[in-house]
Amino acid sequence: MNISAREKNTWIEFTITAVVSLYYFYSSYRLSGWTQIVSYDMGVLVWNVIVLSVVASIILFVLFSLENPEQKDERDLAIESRGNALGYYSLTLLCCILIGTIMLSEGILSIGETATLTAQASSINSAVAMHFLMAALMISALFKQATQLFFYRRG
Amino acid sequence: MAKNKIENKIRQLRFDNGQMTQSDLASKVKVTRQTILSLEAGRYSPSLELAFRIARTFQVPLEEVFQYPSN
Repeated sequence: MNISAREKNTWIEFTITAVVSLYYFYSSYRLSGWTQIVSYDMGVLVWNVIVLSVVASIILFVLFSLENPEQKDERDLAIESRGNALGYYSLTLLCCILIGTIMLSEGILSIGETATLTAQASSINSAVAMHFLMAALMISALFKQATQLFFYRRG
Repeated sequence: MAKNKIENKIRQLRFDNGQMTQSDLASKVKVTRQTILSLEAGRYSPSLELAFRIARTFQVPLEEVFQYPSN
């Protein structure tokens, strides 16, 4: 397979992001479901996610990037900027979906009614919002890396 | 990168210049071999600077390497 060092690095980043995302969501669901957060368990989980990311990065980069990394050229930068743009659009879209869902669930957009946004009354609690934002971050990162891989493979 | 309208004779010029490999050309114009491969396949349009560097490497005018057909 004809693959540059940059593309190889992108594959590694994509794999790490996918594995860490799966680990985070599987573990957080097993801990307490997605509607509540137990602070101590969540702290341990976040710590594990950080350690897993660092260890996985070191192992994969050592295994697959032994040769000298090439300098980024203009095509690498063009592909990187396309990936960044798509990652940014997906992050923006997911954040807008979260804001819209909160506003709709609170009836803020209803005309002629009075609605108050409070932490206690919200049907989307802070735990769900936090997990949704984590998902948005991870999905946008995956989108970015998948876009870059698409353009690298396309030529 | 979508197939673009800019055509080039890089492959032919490489062979006319002592069967220069893609890697040799890539190192002379300071890009990766994959970029040369994409250029030859017509999937990537180079920047003006890279286009001039390629033309200078082959010691030919720019329009001899890159063409932009009118239709």
